[in-house]
Amino acid sequence: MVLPSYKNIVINSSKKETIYNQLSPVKWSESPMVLTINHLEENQLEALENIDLFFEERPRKDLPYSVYILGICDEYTGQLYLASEVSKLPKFFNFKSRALNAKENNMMKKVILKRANLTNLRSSEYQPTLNSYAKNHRKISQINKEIYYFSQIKLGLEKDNGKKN
Amino acid sequence: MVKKTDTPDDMIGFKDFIDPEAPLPKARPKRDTSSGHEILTFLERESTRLSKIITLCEEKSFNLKRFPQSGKINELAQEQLDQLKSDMIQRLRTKDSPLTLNIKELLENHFSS
Repeated sequence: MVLPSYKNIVINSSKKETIYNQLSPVKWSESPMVLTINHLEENQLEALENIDLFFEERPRKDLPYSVYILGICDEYTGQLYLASEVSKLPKFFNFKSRALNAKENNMMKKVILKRANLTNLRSSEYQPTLNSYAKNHRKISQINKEIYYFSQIKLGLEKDNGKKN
Repeated sequence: MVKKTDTPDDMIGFKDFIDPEAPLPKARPKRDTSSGHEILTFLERESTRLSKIITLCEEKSFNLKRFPQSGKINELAQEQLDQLKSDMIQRLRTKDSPLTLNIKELLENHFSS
């Protein structure tokens, strides 16, 4: 049983065919993946665009595990999580894998079961609801920021009035 | 009292079964399953994380779909903001408000000369 720690995939080239060949057999739902592209130097943007294209053509659920890119590219504006170093990735999945003992094996079986449950859920059933919920809450947050800003000004005015009186 | 002795004679009858030169069976290299409880703790947390995601996707998203609240909250927040803005305008429109005084000073400085 494979622990869900980071699995590293070093992208060999920025070319579309190479990326597609490398990424096609990967099982995305088993563990969080780190795609390393920082050795591609100036071709990193091209590689990122091709990775984006790959995920557009073959939609992948972000649950239960996400995909992280290890590279430096300021021009990139896509949706992939780009980090310059391993230390900047979420620490939760960052540990060395080893053989499991009986107790850990039992727990791992539980995790696999839940993972399968989650993978079998249809994202079309919950994703639109969660998206609209997130959108509305961003709006509410924006309004609350404005409320806070104006109430600070109001407080200042009240203080000013108090001084005059 | 019988005196115990470890003379070779005690081994008579067993010597045929004992091969002193036979190498001891090698102990299997132990797998490193020594817990610092690090992995077990991780797996427990991972299990909890997955349970929470499942609950979110199955139950909570269903409830959010059936009983949406964001619209109402949004409306209330917007009302509060509008109220606050109109209050502010009322305050700033008075003759002795800092805004009026500042604008007055600015205009006087600019046009008095």
